[in-house]
Amino acid sequence: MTATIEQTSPGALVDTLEAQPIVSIGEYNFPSRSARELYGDDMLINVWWKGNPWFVAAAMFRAPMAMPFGAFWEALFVPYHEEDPDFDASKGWEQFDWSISGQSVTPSADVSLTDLGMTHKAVLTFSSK
Amino acid sequence: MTIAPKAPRKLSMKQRYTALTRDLDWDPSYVTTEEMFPLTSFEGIKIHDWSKWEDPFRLTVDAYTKYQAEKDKRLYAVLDGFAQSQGHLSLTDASYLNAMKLFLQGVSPLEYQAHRNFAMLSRHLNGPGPRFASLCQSLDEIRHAQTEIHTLSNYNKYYSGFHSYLHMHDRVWYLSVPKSFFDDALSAGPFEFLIAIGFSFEYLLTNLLFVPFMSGASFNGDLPTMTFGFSAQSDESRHMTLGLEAIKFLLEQDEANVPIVQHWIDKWFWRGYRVTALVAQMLDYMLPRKVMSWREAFELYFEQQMLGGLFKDLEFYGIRPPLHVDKAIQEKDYLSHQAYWILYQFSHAAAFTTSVPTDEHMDWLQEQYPDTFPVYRTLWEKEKKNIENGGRHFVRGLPQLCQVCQIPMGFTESDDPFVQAQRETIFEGERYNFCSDGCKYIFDHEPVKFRQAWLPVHQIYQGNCGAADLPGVLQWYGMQPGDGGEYQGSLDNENWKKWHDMAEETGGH
Repeated sequence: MTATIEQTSPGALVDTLEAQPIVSIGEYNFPSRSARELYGDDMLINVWWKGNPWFVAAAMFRAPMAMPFGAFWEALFVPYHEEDPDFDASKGWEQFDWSISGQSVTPSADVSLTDLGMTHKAVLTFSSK
Repeated sequence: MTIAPKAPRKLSMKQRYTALTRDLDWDPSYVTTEEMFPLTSFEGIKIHDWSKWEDPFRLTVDAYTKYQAEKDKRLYAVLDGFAQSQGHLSLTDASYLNAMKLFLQGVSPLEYQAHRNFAMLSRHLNGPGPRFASLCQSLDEIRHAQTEIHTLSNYNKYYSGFHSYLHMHDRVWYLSVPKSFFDDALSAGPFEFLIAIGFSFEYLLTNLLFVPFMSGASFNGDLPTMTFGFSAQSDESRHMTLGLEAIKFLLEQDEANVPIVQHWIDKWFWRGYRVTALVAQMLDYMLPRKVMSWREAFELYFEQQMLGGLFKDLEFYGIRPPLHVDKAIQEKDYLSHQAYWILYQFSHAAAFTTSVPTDEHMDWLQEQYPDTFPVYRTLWEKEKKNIENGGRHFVRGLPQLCQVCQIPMGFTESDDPFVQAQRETIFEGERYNFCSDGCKYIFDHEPVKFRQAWLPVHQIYQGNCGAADLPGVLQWYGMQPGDGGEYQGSLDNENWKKWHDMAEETGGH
């Protein structure tokens, strides 16, 4: 039923699950309530500080798909993570290792979140070096 | 000569029950059985003989209502006495009421939903026995909803967080956990509902869900809630019997039912177990005077009674313990710590308050969880320093939620207390995130159902929750100042101190 998650190109996801027959009294096929199209030009992104239990779960942000990583860092990432007294924003994003779906990525200020490899509801993972 | 008419023969209770339930059944002649009972075939369950259902209630409606009315009289006498004597001041602490706020907001509305669905079953099940049993349980559930609301309404006069509980149940992020659980059951077929609620919720997990709240009330001076608990206890034991009867009936009717029922047990154990995370943190963190730890409760009410008892009996039918039960057993050592850590850092958006455990409380936790609590203690020590420096750990944003249980994804891998579990499925081009293998399993069997989940965080970001900022969302939630946040210095805490100072000054008058 499940398979390894593959990502062929940014934004194109390969299903890991085949449609399952649903037991129902009638036709039953309703759309997702969280589909990317419901967010205009934005997408939802999960940002997970792996190995830091101060934040009990990954954060979820709504961000423009075309948002450059540098702007994301300033506007969304830092204000959220500054709540941890041990986080030092002045060290920049280089203080962390970054990955998406297990694949290592290297952020830079001008690369957009989409070009970095982020897709709707994907998890951008970072951990202290 | 006149002959005196014979006195009517007095029927025994069992005969009256049979006369008023089984003997009022009939075979349809103007419509087919399928037309009369359209909901009992599509799930694939095969029933050959409905008369084999043993009804655990075995009451007539008049006997049932007489019995319940007597219990209600006793309960309402206690409620009156407690209110008139300002009994709320004899609680261990106002913070205890956080557990009851959670109960009123999260559990009481489920009683009402159970009432509705059992009423539906009392019309739609083919056999008169299960129809009558469903009718009685439906009446029990509406009575529970009402008596719980009445019992806790007295606190609404004096404490925050008890108002607007129904409004909140439909909207607030942490209440989407129990709400979505029950909505999932309500939208299932009648047999799945019986296994979901009648068996998994009312039998498998009921002692874990219900007893800790009522024992907590007893240990913390909450006489009304304790009395309600006693009043409901006899009903709950009937509900347990009904749940057990339901599963045995389905399993005995046809072997083909076994794999269907097994899948429902696998699904609904994990669905229900995830809801108990709220109970786990309540037991270990919200009660000023402790009853038992979550770990002890889990071992007693689940491992010993269910795995050691019930599932041994069910082996006969080819039923094994639910999938992912091994994960639940592992989690007994840390579930409460992780659940409370979630609530602690998001309680600024909740209708209850939280606080750093005192040193004495942490010592107790360390005694109960010598292998796991030291890790969490380091977090609390860090938070104490944070508070000394003028901070207070409220997360400045929104968390990633599990698509199935809807809890912020704070549950960790078994082998690493610092690494939250991340699972995902991609279905029809969209990614879905899960907190555990159990939740992923549930989604993967019904993706079309669970992709519709109304996830609070996703809905806030769509602009469907009143506003895009926290004050606007809290207003949409119906929350008022003092409902949530830090307990120390809260409205409840300040009032509590003030009222006790006044009581001391006036010698208790």
